[in-house]
Amino acid sequence: MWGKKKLQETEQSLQTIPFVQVNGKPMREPITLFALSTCGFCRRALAFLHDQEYSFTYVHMDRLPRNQQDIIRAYVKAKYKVAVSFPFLCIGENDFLTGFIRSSWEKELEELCDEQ
Amino acid sequence: MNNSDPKKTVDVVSFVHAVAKKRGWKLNGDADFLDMLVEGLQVNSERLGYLQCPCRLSWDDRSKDRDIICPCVYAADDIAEYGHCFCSLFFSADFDFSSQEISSIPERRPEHLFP
Repeated sequence: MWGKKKLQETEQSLQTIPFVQVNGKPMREPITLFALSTCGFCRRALAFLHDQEYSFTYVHMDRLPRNQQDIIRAYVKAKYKVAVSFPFLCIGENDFLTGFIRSSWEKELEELCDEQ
Repeated sequence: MNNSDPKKTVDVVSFVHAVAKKRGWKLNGDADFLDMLVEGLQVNSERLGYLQCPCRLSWDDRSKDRDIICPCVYAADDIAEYGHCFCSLFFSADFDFSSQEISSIPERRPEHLFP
């Protein structure tokens, strides 16, 4: 089991990941996309977030060295209790979306954004 | 990175058409989406030396990635159940592209095989 200390260490390690910050409409919970540059649904998901003009961060995991991929995998496992599959969208501390299903993403994210 | 066997000259377009024909599937009817996946396979081919699924993270090790080398071992079951494979490259022969936008499907690969 993951202890609190271990999760804190993993969260600290996450600071080393070169996330891209996209500035847009403020969200009530921070959203972060883990994607693969080669994946069609990941590209659709990224385009969706851009089109909606949300503020978010993202990273293409396939372009990271193995040790940084491991940090993200450990973080997702510890925090959300699942293995990362793509695209993976972290929503705040507890929620996530995995796989791109436009209607689900619209519904979940509209609720987090006060500006329409 | 395995550079000992770079398949940089692999013709991915011919490959995916040949697989679809052989297996009785059809390719993604959205030309842009199909192009993205072909490009993704091409990138993986150049990176890894084998045509790994573009929607899954690699071990960088052919033996550990062998179940997700295109067409992956999960494709037939996914096509039977959902009408298309995990990355939506291959579709069932009777899939109706006009009905709705294609969405992701659940990951069938067991978690213990993930990197």
